[in-house]
Amino acid sequence: MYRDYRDRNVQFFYVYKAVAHPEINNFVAPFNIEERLKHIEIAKEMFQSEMPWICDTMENDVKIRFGNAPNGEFVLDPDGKIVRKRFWSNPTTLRSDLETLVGKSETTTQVADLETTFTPKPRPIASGVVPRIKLPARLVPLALKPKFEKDSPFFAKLRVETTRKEPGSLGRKIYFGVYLDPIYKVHWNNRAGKIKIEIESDDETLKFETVVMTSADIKEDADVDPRQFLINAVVPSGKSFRVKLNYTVCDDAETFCKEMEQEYEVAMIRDDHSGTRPGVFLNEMFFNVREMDKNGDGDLTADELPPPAR
Amino acid sequence: MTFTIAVWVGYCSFGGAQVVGQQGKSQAGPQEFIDQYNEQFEKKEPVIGTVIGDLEAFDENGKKINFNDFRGKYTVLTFGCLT
Repeated sequence: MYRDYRDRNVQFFYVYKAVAHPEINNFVAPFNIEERLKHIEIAKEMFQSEMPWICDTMENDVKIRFGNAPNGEFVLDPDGKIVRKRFWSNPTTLRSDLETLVGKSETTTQVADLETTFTPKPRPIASGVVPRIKLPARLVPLALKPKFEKDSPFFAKLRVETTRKEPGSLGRKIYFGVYLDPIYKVHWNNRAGKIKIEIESDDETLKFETVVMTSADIKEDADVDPRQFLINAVVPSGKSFRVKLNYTVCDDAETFCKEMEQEYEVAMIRDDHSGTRPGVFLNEMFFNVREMDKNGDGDLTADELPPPAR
Repeated sequence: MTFTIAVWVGYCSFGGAQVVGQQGKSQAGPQEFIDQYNEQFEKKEPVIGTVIGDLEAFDENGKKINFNDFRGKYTVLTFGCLT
């Protein structure tokens, strides 16, 4: 449609926003605008698109302004007024919209006309060799503030999630996930040392099952798998603590290996823009569906369905 | 208990989650659920008729842009990401 309408007073943009589901294809949430722009570079190569891109701010201003839909589609008129909007983009409906607003196009480009022959280059580093830990359902991502330092990219990124407080107690579980960011094309150097997380806090009311976590021994010299830790903790909502992360990475081109020590402030506040890992939203879906079965007989009848689904 | 999972992806995917495996391209889920969601989405801000106005972002080269600069033409915006 871009090809059919770009000369008809219509401009098209992909809007790149916060990642919806970190972990898919190993992508994780960028920490700064440079990393988000790198995602756009990768997306351009993958989709081989000609359409220009808009990169949302790290405050997610565009995503918020347009209602937070993950795959939303909008048409603005020449005065900047929204004239069409939908929760999920739909090419057929969009073409119909443009025919109404601008007129029929002279050409009708089909998907088969597009040259999309992207073949991802396999990385020669082991993956899938570190077993994933079993995580509780309904983990909520927490707000992180990485401590940026000059010439110290976040080759690996921390993600922290928590369960809701257990009823009648302050206890909860906290998940620490350490993910290599594929935009840097680096891998763990398992011979140089383990991945280590240290928790620090001046608040004595915060209690952690352990304040030092180290990754298990791995047979492979190198891999790209995430490292995961799950601990019990007593940390009230709204409080914060510090995390120090130590790791060693080497680049895939074998030009450097670096020992990194990076710090984060973790706030016990939900981060609404860091997405949900696939394991979380699928669990959430199962919970939602199971909760609809009011009489617990394993079947969903029409009266148990919410109105939009009847 | 057995559930027809595919039927519920569109409705139960909390927060409008994408189906696992999507890579930022639009894929229509079960159409009836998408239509229902669209109905509810149309009522949410910003509603049709809202003027977007002053809103800053970046182009793909990192240069600052403003949505006011798009005036004068129809503008199609499709949101997405790599995951």
